Amino acid sequence: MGAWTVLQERQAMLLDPAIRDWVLLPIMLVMVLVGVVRHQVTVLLNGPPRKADLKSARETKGLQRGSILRAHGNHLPEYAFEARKAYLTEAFEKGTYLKDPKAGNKPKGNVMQDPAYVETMMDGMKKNMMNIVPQTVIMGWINFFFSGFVLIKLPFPLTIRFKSMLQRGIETQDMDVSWVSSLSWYFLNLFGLQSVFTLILGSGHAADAMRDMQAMSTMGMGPAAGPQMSPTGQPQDMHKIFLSEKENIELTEHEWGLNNVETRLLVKYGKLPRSILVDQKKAKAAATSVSGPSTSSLSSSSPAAVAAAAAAAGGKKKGRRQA
Amino acid sequence: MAVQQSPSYFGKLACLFGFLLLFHSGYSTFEHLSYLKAVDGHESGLPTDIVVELLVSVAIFGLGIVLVADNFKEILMETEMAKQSIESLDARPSFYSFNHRGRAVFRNVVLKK
Amino acid sequence: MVNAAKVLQDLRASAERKPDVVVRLGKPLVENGAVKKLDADAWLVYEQVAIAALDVGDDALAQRCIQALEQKFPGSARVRRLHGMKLEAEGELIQAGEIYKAILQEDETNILAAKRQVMLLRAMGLPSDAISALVKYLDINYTDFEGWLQLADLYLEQLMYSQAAFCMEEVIMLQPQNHIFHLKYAEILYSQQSIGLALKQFCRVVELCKDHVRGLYGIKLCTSHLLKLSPSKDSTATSQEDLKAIDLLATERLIATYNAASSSTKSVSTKWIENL
Repeated sequence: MGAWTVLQERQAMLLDPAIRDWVLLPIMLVMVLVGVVRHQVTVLLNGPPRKADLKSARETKGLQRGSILRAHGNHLPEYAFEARKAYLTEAFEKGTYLKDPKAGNKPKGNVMQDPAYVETMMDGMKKNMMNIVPQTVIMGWINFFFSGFVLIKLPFPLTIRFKSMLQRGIETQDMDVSWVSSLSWYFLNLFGLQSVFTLILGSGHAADAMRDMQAMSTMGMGPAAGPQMSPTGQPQDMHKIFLSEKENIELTEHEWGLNNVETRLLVKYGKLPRSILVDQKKAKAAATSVSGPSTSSLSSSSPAAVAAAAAAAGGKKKGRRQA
Repeated sequence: MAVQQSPSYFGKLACLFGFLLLFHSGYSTFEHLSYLKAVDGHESGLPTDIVVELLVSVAIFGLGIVLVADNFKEILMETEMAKQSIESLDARPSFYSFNHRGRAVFRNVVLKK
Repeated sequence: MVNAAKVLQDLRASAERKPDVVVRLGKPLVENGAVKKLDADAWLVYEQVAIAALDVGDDALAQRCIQALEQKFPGSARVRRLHGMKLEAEGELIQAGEIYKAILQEDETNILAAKRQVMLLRAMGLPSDAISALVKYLDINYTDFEGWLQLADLYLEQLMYSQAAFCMEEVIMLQPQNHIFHLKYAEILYSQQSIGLALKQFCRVVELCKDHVRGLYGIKLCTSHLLKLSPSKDSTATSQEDLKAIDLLATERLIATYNAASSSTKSVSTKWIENL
């Protein structure tokens, strides 16, 4: 109880209840209403969702083929994986999935004339306007009408540094930093009302992702169509991306997940001890490290190495079982 | 788990009761603090009965929540997957084809009901 | 009423094709207007009941649902595709084709219309055209596993097993944890006589879903076949020991599963399993 007593020895001030009635609640009400209005206006401004472009979709999905193959290729038998690997590396190199195969020759300078790019920029700007304008207006309104007095006492103690920010307009030296002005109430509401908006407007409301986007870049990223943009605003060169994906695929090694599925199944039902799997792994690691230095190609799936590794693993496995 | 048998009533009652107690203890705190302000006494911590009321309300509320909540879902994906029937293989809703016997077979049966 | 809505919702989630259940539950909902109480779900129920009604031949009910949807969403491509499906069901394939072509002209990325066109070609008895249309669709929308499943089925109808296996491989890459897809892949491999590979896939099915009876039967079939052959020299194939162990395991699990069945089923199945 001692520490509690110390904490409570802060300044106790009695505030006029009229402040609560005429400042606290109205500011909150105004912010909620402005948020709702802003959401509706954003919906109106955005119009119906843009139609996706067939070629762009194909391009993105084509790129996904590479990542899906890399992620889940181990579920396929080796011949299937190799076939897809060969096909995709060739396709990415030739640019089969590119939206605009001749794009590489276009000069990069006339970026402004690309209509899709301009649309995406306009989108981002619209969203930013919808954010900045209400914020500025409300902050000005609060500063004009509600400055010069203390509004609330925050329930937690703060350091001295916050004094200048939170007590703007009330220049005293001794007042506790927990007593704050109306502007800080505005900021509290700005972040705190996010969940209220989600409750009222559903999860897709306009104020939601705004926070992060504002901090990031001035270019918005369109939900459906716009061409891929890097944060610096230059349209990315899809061909380069395809080439890098191609290299990733070439580097991927295939390790068939079903190599020892029988053993795993027997272990799962308790017919074999779990240590068998550990032994198998060790045997395989030993075998590949033996054959590793002798192979110089990128992929370790040369038939001799695989056969040697499997035979070594099989031999070790049989040895353990008989022991 | 005999307690699970009447989740609706007892659990909901417990939740309600716990919430009321919580609310009451919160309000008591507020009143206590305003009393102290009015009397100009320095704050020396909450009186014991409010604290006890608070803890009891939390306990009752917790009990109520546990009774009212749905059954747990399994963690292992395997058990969720096992519920998938093989019917889902042939389903493919966007690819339905309608030139099958069902139209003739079911027509009389359903209409006559 | 609440129960009917819940059952319909579950059927929508599991995507099973049970038109008799849907019509039996949905028809009273639609006819006495109770469906409107479901708010946002009401339109999904209308669509679901319309499609089920087409499946059972209740064209009047389907028409009623489609009209309700059209009133709410005039000019929607989704409603027009339902209209096209109704024409397909009634046998007016050319008219249905016109509707789909019109939708695609307005919006070339409309997935629903593209898929219906594929099924239309199949209904017209042009399987190779259906296959090429679907291949073109999948070239653009690679991640649609339903499409790959349908393509596998189309190939299987033409007995083109290796192409069907390719499609199932794509499906497995898109959804690696679903044992049903592994099962279908295993069965296609078995039909192609790649028994060693099929055995591994069946093992995977049982690994993903413990005691899956169809997978266990698959294992039994493969092991009984492989045990009769002389041991293969291929080092990646299953060893004889493993084969015997797996065979034993499968037999044991199958008999254990049938323990709960009635005695006649149990005796028949046990006899058959042991003779495999």
